[in-house]
Amino acid sequence: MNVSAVWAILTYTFKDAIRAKWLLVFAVVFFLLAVNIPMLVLLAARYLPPNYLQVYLTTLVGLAFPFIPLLPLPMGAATIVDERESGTLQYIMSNPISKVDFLLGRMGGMLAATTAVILLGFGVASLMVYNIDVGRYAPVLTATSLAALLNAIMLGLAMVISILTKRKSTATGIAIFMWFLFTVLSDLGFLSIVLNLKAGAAATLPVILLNPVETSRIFAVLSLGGAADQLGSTGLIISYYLGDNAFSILGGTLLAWLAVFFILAFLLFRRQDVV
Amino acid sequence: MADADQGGAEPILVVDDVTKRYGKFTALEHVSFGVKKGTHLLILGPNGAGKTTMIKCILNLASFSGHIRVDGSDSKKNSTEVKKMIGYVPQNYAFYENLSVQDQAKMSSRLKGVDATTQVQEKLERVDLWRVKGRKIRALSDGMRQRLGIALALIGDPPILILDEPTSNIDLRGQLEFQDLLLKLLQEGKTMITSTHLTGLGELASEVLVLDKGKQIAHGEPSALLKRVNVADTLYLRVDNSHAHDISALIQDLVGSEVIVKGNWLTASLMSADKMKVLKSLIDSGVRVDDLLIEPTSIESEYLKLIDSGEST
Repeated sequence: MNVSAVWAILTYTFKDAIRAKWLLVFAVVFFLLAVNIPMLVLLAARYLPPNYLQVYLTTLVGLAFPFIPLLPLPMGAATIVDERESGTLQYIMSNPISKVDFLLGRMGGMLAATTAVILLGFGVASLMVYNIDVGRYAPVLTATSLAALLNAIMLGLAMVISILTKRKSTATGIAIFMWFLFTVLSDLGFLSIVLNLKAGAAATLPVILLNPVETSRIFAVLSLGGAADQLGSTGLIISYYLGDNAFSILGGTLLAWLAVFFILAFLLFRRQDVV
Repeated sequence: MADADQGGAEPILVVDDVTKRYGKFTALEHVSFGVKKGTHLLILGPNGAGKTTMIKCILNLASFSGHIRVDGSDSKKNSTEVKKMIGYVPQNYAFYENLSVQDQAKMSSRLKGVDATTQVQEKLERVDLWRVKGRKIRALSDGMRQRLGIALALIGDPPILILDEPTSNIDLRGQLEFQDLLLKLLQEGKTMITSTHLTGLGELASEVLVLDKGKQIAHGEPSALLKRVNVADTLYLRVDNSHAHDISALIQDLVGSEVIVKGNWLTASLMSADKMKVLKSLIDSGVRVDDLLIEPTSIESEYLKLIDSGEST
């Protein structure tokens, strides 16, 4: 591996990404989602229930997680295909670097930039709300880490889309559709149909596990010790069928998604002509 | 190996029976040639001939069947090692637009694994871009972009330079400057491979490869290829008006070429072999010639004849 080349591509990608307005918008959106102004008012008045943080974070997870894919999906899906269209990929790959070097640098840079936005958005909001008690940062860290994991999974998917498509517009369109599929369509259509089938709830289980957004949401709520009513219908199905194993199966599934998308991206890119 | 073994020095680049297909479309078909160290190979052909595809195969940017070896290293097995030996100037000078000239050069140094502190300034100064090192690439003219491309290709001092359509986007002055730089690089011992569908680089070529529709039409020294298609040079003579018709008749009788008379200028197309015969006859006849010009034919303006002839090497 050409470490110097990987680092050069990674730092360029990171700097280029954080200059994009798309990322700045998301940093503000995550901050506004996380800051919870009524909580600040209650905090100032010293009138908070004992479990306020757990309630607040599980609500935040339900609110923010469906939006997280909108950060890495369009950005990641455009990255390789855009370089191919502009000709810069041909130039970069004419240098003594391997395809693995290039993809490591590109993915690393994108991952660092998008993760930084999540950390910044949630982190600043958390500092504002919880600065009175450092000990309360552990659950915030859990929620933020799971948001970063979902971001990484979606970035892997975005890279696969970018490698497989020939036009930037097509790649962006597919990325937006994937977000729609994982959030709106999954909730409104797919799960409703499955639940109405004879196999019912049992068939819902694989459908949930096939959806990284929903899997990560349920996993986050369980990790934060959320109550049954905060899990939603899909979360209750998971709890019913998987019981005590839910935590490890959901976590394992998320890591499997991460590995599948990243490995797939590397395999596809290695087999493909650069131009 | 069909055409790769040539007399003299061992080729630094050997292309052996390379075929590239995109689905059912054949972009290159059984192409074989060699490039000797320190020489300049000009790849000629119309748009879509396969010139850029050939370059992509040499750089291992596209998969292909056959073999390409650079200084003995197989380009498929040792892709990174092979790319260390090649500096590439892309067709559209596609670099990162939001980077400054210096930052792009630093990035190229890191990609090549060489020391940026010494190489960047040296190479940018060489192409007269150090004075604009802070300028964003998007603000550079086409000529400057071309020079930047050459500077980046020179980083790491690779023995081979590949230039894809280097003169297609630049003005006449830029083309002349480019030819001057090309000549200096050849004098320094670089091996050059240039693809073009335009004219203007033939005088600097040691060898020419003509491609058409993915097929190798011809490969060899420019003079040898010109002989094959019987191309003629153009002779211009300025004579006294009173002798114009006599001289015209003399040339016509001697070589059978038509002679055009315009005022006191005579113009005739001559095969290279006939030039000396005509000059000797003019001297022997004792007629006064006020001026004489011979315009040699360039391989780039005649390569289409090679394509039309359909001959192969």
